[in-house]
Amino acid sequence: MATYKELKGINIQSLDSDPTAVEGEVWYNSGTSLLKMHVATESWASGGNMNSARYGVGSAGTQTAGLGFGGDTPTPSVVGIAEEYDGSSWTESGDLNTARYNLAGFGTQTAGFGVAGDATLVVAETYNGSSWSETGDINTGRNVLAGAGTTTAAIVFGGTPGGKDETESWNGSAWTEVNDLNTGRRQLGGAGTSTAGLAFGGGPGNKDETEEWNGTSWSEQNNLNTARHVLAGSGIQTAALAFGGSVNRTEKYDGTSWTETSDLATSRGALGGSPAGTQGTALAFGGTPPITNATEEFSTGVSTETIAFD
Amino acid sequence: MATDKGFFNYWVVENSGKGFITHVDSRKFWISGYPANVWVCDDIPESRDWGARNSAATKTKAEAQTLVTNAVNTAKSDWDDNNVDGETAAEKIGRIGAKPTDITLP
Repeated sequence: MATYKELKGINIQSLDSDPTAVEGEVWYNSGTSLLKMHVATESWASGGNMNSARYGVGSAGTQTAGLGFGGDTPTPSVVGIAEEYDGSSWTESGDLNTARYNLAGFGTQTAGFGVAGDATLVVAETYNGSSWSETGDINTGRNVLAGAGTTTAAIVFGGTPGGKDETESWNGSAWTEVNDLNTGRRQLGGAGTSTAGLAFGGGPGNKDETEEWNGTSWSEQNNLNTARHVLAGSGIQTAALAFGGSVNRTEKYDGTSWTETSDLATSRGALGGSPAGTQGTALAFGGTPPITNATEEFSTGVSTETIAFD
Repeated sequence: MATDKGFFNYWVVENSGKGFITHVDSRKFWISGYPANVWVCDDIPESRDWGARNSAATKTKAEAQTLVTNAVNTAKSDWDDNNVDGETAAEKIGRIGAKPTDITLP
């Protein structure tokens, strides 16, 4: 059998203790007499449960500074309740002025945006970290739409009735209709910014189409591996994460193609995400069926593993 | 510990939030949640430790399947009863998603 040096040209280091984590590193721990290596990890773990279980919830922020607002509860009852997440637990904050579900959400925990929702609402509200204020209405009322950006520069796209292709751009004071999606759809996922956005999946049925927004128009890209609707997202146009959608599948987008990664523990759709999060640190919360208050946190890292020989 | 499943453990336990499933758990064994607080894991020592840590109740596969089926049937009824006057079938799906479907546990 070939030795490690014959294969790699170097000997494995013999160390008294495990070194600082560097992906791919292999060493022999002379203290424990074990051969070890550092491997990259991508996994979901449970986060703190929301105070109010719901689906069709709007979302903003990151894994450690998240925001969930609106939604429909098991009663059923459409609510305007907002909750902030600190990486461990959820705390109720100021309610939306207009209770609703199936709205678009994006921005951050201290500068969040909730747009449209319910049947054909046009109302848009911004959050300042404690309360919501109405801004200019969008032009085309809709629900189960997606959005991306901030409270000063944003886009919303898709939705229902039907499978809408309309896209609108927000400049901080007004919404303007801009070029349409190539594939009209509802219940889609969104990520990115007002000038580098990403639309993926959606319905009716289960769609896998992905489109990139460059600030002017949408262009078709490689499809999701698992077609689905009512999914959520995190990250930017060149490093996005798509998860859920009545399935537990999670996929990473690198600006060109989607790759499957670790699944959510619980399949769900109409869940909240982390629009201001990253591909490597995402948040999933709420959703249905059944309507849940469960939260999951996606993280990447490097773990130390022992290499065993049979 | 359930004993009729071969490769999986079937548990019932409410998700307690942070720490319920850790990143280490996720890396060590496959775990998937279903309606009625049913959880299915690879049958390995680490998943049994997870069940003990969370005071999960063990179930046979048949028992777990019954719980899930009942929960799905309730969700189907709730879906049937959730209507808005004048709404088409397509509009209903757009509003609350598709009708829940049967789940068969692994």
